[in-house]
Amino acid sequence: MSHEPDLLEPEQKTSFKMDVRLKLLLLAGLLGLVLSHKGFIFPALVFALSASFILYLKVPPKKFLLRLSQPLLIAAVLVFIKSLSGKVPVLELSLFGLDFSLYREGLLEGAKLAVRLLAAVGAVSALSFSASFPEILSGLASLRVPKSLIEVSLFAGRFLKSFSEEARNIHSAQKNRLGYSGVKRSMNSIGILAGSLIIRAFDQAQATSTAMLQRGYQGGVHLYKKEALEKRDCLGAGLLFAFLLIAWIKLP
Amino acid sequence: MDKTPVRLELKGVSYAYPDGTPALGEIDIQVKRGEFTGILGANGSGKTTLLKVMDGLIRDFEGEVLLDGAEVRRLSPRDIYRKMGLVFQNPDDQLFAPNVYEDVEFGPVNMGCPEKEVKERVERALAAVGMEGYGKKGINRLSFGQKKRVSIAGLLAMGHEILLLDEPTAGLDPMGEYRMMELLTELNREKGVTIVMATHSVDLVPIFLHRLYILSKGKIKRGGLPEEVFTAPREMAEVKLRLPHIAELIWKLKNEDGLKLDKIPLTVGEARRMLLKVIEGDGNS
Repeated sequence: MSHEPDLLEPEQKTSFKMDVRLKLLLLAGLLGLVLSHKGFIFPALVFALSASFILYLKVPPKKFLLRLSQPLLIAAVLVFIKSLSGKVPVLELSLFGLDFSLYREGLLEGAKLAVRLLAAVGAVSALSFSASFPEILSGLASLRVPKSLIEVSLFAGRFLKSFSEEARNIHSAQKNRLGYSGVKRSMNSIGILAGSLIIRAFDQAQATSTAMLQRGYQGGVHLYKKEALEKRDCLGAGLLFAFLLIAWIKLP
Repeated sequence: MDKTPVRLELKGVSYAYPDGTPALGEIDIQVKRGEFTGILGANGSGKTTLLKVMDGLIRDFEGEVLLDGAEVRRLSPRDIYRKMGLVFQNPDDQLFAPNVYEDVEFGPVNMGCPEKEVKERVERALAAVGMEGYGKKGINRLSFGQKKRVSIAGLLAMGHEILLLDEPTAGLDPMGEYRMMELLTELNREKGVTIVMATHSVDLVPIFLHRLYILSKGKIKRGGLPEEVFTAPREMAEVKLRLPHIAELIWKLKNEDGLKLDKIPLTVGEARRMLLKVIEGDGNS
């Protein structure tokens, strides 16, 4: 039995509940607002709200920061590249024997992009921490995302963990027999590992398709249960979106 | 003469793998309603292939496989899988939904059952395999034994009357093996499910099974009641199997040490009774 985090189970440990369809709609609206806003404050507010919500869900801060690490790196690169152009120099740097001047206009432009990026990632993380992968897929199915895409994603989610375990086992078996002593051997071992996983994936696909066929599969996984949206959820989502819309208009 | 209807019958079934390697040869098997039948064989003897032929997953074989008198190749997959289902050796090959409930409901939903009936079927199936209350549990969070139980529940929820099981006790600890066999016996006795099970667990087989076939190199070497099938150690070794440990001990006591016994017991309980009888007999004399 595995005790590792599971993609298929939500992270939240509180009683917060909202229909995933509303969450998805809210997220889509929020992303639209974030990307279309020209200033700093609104995206910063969205990021702060998302981060607070994630902490309210009792997600360990380390985990959240880990998820933010890649976008933060991208944001830093964006700020740096953008700041190389402009009129008013604010800082002069010398890196690897090369001299750089960072300009005020570029820095501001880069910072705007970075904060938008963080706000968007924060909002998407808030969704992913508050709903399981299958829930999100079922929500997407109800919003008319192509079923085949949903099915493939569902199976990928289900078997990703099996394959990562399989990869770890093969890696350990190779390591036990000195498969990673030296660059050449390491490359060879990685190639074998990748090949074995591809073969395993085909075997798994065949077995799963047989298992599904013998349980009446005829080309459609019934993911989405047509339950009516609760008025309370709709009202909550509407109020939240209205608040964000006002903030989008009012904030610089 | 036993007039119990035959549910599954194999007549002269032969099959070769696509590369021409013979897998099964001239197999004749009868499985009657409510029977708990075992296919006993060493690794590579053709057990899994035989189950796949029975289940209609392999269709290019010679001979006949009859399900309730109808040739399986003439039946649609829907007709076959409403009555009979195969539980794979590795439950990870069989379970594909994210959580227990969604996996078990997959069959009934595809059968077009209304939502209320689906729920009832899932709950009944989970209760039958002792997994009530696990509906929301993620498949990845289950132990190997629990996954095997959920695999069985997935087929029971479809109302299968015949279960084909490929090594249901493989990979389980001794207690898990015993519990699995108890579960299958309960399904067989109390729910009337006809079971065909491929295995090489010689120690468990005589305790639970009604009828046994020994498969070696794709051919049925012997078939009948467990006491008819388990004979002498040498004959069992020829098919790469052995007698149950208790039977081997008693066989040696009888044939090598001259202990006077009428027959070879196959279970500990039977052996205990026989040995107590012998001891009491010695005490009286």
